[in-house]
Amino acid sequence: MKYFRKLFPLSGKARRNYLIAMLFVFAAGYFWQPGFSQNQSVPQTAPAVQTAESVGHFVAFSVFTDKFAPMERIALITVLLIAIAGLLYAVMLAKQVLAADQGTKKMQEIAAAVREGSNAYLGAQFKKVGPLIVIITLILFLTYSGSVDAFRWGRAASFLVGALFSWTVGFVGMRLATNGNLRVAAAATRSYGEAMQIGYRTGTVTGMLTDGLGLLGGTIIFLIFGEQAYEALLGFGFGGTLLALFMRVGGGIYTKAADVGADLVGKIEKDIPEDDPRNAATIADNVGDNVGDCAGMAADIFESYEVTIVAAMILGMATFGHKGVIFPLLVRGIGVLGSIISTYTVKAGKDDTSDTALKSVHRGFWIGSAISVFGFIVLGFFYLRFPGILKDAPATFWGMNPMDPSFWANFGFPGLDMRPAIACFIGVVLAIVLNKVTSYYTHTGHNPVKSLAKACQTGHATNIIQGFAVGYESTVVTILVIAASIMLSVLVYAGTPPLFVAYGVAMTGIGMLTLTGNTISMDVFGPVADNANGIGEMGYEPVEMEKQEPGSYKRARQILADLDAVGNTTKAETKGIAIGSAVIAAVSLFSSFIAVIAVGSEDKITEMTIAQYAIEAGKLTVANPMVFIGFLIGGAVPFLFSSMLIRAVGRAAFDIVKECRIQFRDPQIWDGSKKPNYGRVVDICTNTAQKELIGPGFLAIMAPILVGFLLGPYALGGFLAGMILVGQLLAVFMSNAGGAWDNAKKMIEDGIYGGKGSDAHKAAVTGDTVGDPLKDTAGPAINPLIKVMNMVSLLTLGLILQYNLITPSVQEGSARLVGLLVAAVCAIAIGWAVWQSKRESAAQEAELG
Amino acid sequence: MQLHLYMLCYRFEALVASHLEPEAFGRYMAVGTQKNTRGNVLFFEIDGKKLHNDYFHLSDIEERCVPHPDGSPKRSKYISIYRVLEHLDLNAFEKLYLGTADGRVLTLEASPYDAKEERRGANLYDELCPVSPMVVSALPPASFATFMTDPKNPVSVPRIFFADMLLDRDESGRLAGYLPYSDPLHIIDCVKELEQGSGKPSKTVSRTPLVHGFFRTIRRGFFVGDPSGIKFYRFPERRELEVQYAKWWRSASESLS
Repeated sequence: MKYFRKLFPLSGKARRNYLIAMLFVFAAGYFWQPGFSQNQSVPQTAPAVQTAESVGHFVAFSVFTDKFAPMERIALITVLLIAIAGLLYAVMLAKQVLAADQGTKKMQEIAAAVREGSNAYLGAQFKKVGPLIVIITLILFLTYSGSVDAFRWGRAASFLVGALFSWTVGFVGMRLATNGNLRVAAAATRSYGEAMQIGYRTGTVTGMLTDGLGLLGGTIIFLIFGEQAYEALLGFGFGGTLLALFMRVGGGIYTKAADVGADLVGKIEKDIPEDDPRNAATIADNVGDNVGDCAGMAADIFESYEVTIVAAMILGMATFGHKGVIFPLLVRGIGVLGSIISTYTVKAGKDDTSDTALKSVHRGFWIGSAISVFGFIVLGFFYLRFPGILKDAPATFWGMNPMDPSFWANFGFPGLDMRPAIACFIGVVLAIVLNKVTSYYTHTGHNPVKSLAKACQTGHATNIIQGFAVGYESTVVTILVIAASIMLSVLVYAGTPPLFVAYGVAMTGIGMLTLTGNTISMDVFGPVADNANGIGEMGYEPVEMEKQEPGSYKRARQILADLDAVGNTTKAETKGIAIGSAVIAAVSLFSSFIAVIAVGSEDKITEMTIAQYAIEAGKLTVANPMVFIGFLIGGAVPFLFSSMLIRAVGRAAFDIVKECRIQFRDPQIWDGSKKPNYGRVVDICTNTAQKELIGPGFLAIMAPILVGFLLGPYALGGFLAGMILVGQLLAVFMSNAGGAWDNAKKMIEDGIYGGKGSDAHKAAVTGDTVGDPLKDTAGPAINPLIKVMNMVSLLTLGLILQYNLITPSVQEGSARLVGLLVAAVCAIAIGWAVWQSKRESAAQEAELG
Repeated sequence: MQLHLYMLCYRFEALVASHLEPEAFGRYMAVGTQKNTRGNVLFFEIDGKKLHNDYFHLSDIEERCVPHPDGSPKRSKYISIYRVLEHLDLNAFEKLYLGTADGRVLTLEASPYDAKEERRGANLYDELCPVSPMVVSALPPASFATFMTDPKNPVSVPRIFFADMLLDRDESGRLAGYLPYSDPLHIIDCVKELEQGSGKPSKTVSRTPLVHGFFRTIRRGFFVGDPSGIKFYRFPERRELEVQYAKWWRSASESLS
């Protein structure tokens, strides 16, 4: 040993690094051996480089050639115009909101602080994520394995546009929300109806931006690339999804770190009420509502909107050709019109209450649903004629057999196939049912939340135990509802090839998010009303208001409290849709995944035969050890991801608590003669959230690549299946349990079991604090996680098929070395991310040693 | 600097001299020192000129309680921490100050108390000083003060400071859900026992009551009395609290302690 040390005079660390490097070299050499292959009978497809030619030469704007019928061109232009109409409607509403009264100077100062903090956060995030987006754009550009340059440019540019649109939706939506909250607080001094309308319309702006930009992007890509839009659509979807993941993760960490930090110091340590201006974390808390619930959620639903349309368009092209692509776009167009009409009908009277206001919001959703269902059934009747593609129906309605699936497809009209429209209808029903399920488990009017409030009487632990039980049950019900809707889509397409079934599922997703405008309006209304309440608390001048009109202060506060309650309910309801849509989109993308394995390259997806699809789908069974291993790892990833996020919240909250404690030592801050340094806490939140989002981002991007290259495409299929299942279960559990705990606390605060300050209340506060990072950070972030992993898998599948370690389609020995190197880089990145997530912050180290 | 005398009368009793004005003193007690009082602070301002004995040796208090060398006020100089209430004259009690845990202070003035307006029925009293049990009593406040300070009563104190608490009940006879008492069923049992005529004028609910959300439970207000009379400090109506004293009320009603 001494001789060895003498021969290699290196430090211990250098020796260790040398040994690790050698380990990799030997491993690479071992895998290079051809005998390693486990012969999994992956179809030995032709190299992907040849495939572009087989698709044909690219012709930009081929939609305007003879390939497309004049009616189809008109339909696409109409969709484009509807998308623009949606955006113009958003601009009109934004002008209305901004023209409203802005209240007193004090209120404006508070709102300005929240606005500045929110802008600073998104600005910092853009600086952090921007370079990463550029790098990924370059990677997408350089790793394209086909030979048509237009597709190379298309997928990279579409990725960039998707990311930009996602960021725009989040940024503009949040920016308007931070202006709208002030106007809502000012309007509440005059009338309930006015305040409600401004709040809801503030949310509608974001909703219509999502609708408009999502539809605009998909339509423009299709107009440019026509039948060859696959790569560009994937790029567009991935851009939106990745940005949404960052905004969801960053926003989620920010909002809960600020909230938990503010509560720990304010409510628990110092015993001061929420939103007390003496608490340095108050403004950060309000900023968090905007960056998490507003920007994060808007970007999140935007990416769901994008991904469902991308999935439907890809599968539509592979099944029904042009009509299969154009129909989802038209359905979305009808949805935009439905949202424009229905959101404008949401109004409340001068002296309405939260019950009537909630009814008005729900009525808007029903009106939108009715318009959309009527619209796409009429559209389907005239447009969905596919003679010869699937089994033709008999000539007359009366001559049909109801047991024959085609009976339900065309009701006796030869050539008509209403199945895509029926699948959309199932999606609309699914959205409504998920709303109801979420509402049942999280609303104060139903037994689950009542049971939690009741459990608070016996202490903290019983509340937590009951919350777990409610959350677990809710996730089962939700997954049964989603399974039932997928089953219905399958039944609608019974007797047809699997890709048609997948198209049906994708159309269910399209239907589900038809009313995205309404859904986001309802969601964003939550943080706007919450912030308005905070501005009222900090900015109203009770004595002055009472002098001007006796009773006005109390009335205005009551209005804001009622609006806050309505916003909490509507916000909770939309979470079910967001998570449900992720599963539906993931299931339909999964079909694309199988299709790509079947043909060996994404370029050849349109050439796939039914037999190829059936053979490859059959191989994805847990009886295959690789699939099962992938399934297990995929199921574990949402837990690791959640763990990283929850730790991040704890770390950030610790730093905030430290800062607030320091500021509370200043007696002038206590007596209200000096304003705390809100900016310090905002900075801590901003910096921490940016730092913390990199690790989970790495995990989301690298994990499927690692599994794909290391264990092969079938393991990656299992990985995706496990991740979708567990992700869905975990996300719904976390969202609903957290929502139920939150509302159980509100129930008690409203005056049962002793009300505020009672022992039951303290137990409820514990439940709410536990539930906070679950429902607002980890739970919602799983939604984009599911889709990012799907998208990454689809985008890299071509390369994985060629270079994976198990069954590379490229036969040169270096193929496995490439796969090994990629897997090693991914493993190191994930390892670093996990290590980062476990470290202590500087403040923690200083405090705890 | 003007010197004030304050009598702390919640959870412990003490007579304190201070240069701070009442609001500042309340804030100081709550949050201005590391020895802060966790929770609410109640104190009277005492008119030193109306004290007719020298029990507290106040003649040289101005020499003992001087501003700090840097000119800043002396915030608290403890004069006595034991048997304070009984040695103060009833007419020396000036305003009553209610401080919340985060240092917001509400001022209550002594109001005329009309015993004739009292209705029959059970009352819930939280005795605050010098002893601190919670009791239900068939006696109205003035009679309760007289009973508790009657030397013939073996269980008596020379003077008593107590709060009249809410005892609202719903249709089924249970305590209203918004009342944060620790053991509402036991309170109702005590009330029933009293109503069924056990012969006792009062029944102890708890020797060491933990009243969370204390200020949310106040009904008519606070009383300080002895055989010579009673002083009443009316607690504002809910509407007044929500509008005129909005900040204090929010702090008082949202407190977790």
